[in-house]
Amino acid sequence: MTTRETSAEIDAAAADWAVRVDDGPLDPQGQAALDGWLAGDSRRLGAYARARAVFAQARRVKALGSDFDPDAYADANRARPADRGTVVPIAEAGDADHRPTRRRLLIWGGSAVAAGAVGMIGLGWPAAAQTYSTGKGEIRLVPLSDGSSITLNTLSEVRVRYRADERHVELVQGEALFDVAHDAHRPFLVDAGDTEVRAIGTSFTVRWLGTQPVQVLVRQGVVEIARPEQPAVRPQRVAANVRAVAPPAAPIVETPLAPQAVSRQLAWREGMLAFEDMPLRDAAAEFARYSDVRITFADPGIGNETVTGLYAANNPRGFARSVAMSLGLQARNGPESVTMAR
Amino acid sequence: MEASREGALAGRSNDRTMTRITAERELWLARHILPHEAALREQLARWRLPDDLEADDVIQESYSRLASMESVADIRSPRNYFYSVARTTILLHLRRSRIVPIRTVDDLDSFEVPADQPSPEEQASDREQLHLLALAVARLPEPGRKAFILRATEEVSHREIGERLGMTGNAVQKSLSKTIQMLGNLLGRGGNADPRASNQQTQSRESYSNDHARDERRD
Repeated sequence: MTTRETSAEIDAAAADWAVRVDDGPLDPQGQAALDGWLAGDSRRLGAYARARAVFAQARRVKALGSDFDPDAYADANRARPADRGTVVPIAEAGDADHRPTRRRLLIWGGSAVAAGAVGMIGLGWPAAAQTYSTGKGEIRLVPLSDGSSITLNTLSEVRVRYRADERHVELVQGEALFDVAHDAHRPFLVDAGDTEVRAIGTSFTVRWLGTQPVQVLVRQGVVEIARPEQPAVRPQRVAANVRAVAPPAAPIVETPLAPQAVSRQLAWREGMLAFEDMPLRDAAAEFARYSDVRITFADPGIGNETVTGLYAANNPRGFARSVAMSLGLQARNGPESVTMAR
Repeated sequence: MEASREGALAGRSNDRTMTRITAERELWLARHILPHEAALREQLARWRLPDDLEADDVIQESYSRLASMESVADIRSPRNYFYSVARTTILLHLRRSRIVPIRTVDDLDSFEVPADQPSPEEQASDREQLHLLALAVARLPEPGRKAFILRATEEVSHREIGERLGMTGNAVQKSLSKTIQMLGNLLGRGGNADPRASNQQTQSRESYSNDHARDERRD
């Protein structure tokens, strides 16, 4: 076997090329030299592409602002463990204004460490609200400091504010599953629109899509649903395996569900949608929450057909194809939509 | 799905004429592939690679394939795709070898490449990436760090960086090249991977590479 160039040698040469290309377009001789070098070994293109990607990623130091001081940043972050859950977020230029500036965060970075220490000896610390959100088609698990967690479904946003006497979460929009760690002295409150859901140790989802009434699905334990702005409406306790719908200015409606039905309603956590005898029209509306590809019907009657099954939430075309097959329909793909026709 | 993809990769000819990597592809690799490289390296360390194939080779070959693909628009989960490209790279290598170590095949079989579906952990937060970058930059030695920050934030030419830092243009280029290699090691091996990286500032490129070869074995 002939002596092979080591991958480290290739990486070094690739970095040279990436730096040269970054300084400006290569002249024809330079380009020819690069092409010649790349042709010599299949690994070279990879190393070169990687070096370019590293450079592209590294250029994002711009986003840290002109006053970014690497040493101060490292110092501020050295004290805390390098664990994903406690990463001190960095504000980027152009962020929405409810996010603190980088400078403030550096200070908070220090005080968050202090807060942890103080918390251990039993003192509270006024925590800032923390916002978590997902884009279309995203699912995100947010572990919280008390052992509770929030799983955010597509296009959702929560604001979390923990105090010594209360754990408060505002569901700004969308849908989220709350797995609440038991703490009798600190109730866990979820606000969605005009509805407040109170839990102690339980697991439940709250869904608020704006156009529909707030919906609560209890998986374990008991929650209490209240309407703080309507004193006439008494808080209502809702047990496990019950779906409660809270329409504005009307009584809360409870529907008992089989445990399997509750699991089905939570299929989104695995990126799936589960339907049982669901009209196609409603299924199409569900898919629209996860993808920009719309499912449309050539004839409105098709929307009344029902469907049962488990489908990948981000694949409306695949859903349309398989439903078309089982119902003897056609699925016609357009650029932004898929149309179901007879 | 998986089989057809493998077939497509295997059927790809070796001529890689697409040497001009577009800015778009460069960014896609930076945002969607590079953040998963450290985890893939861990996976590679668990596989028993054949003696004549190193993890670095697999990584380079995998990037090579991702760089020369005509389009990446259909890839739903870049992470899973990256993994499956790495696995195919190893399989192709084995197919070309005359002797196939049975252990390797077992390892590969036991590794289920997940479906091309984005997972929650795939959405590695942008902020976290930026945080890792900030920490990595903090570990760069001077004068490479200053040169790099000038280049990245002010887009100053190599010659002007040289004038400001009292270096020749050529020295700036060498320094930047070394900086990119170090950032590649810091970002591609998990940001905080090796605390000794900060002590490597005075080492020559040769001993730096050796150091990394050693890391690879230790992994």
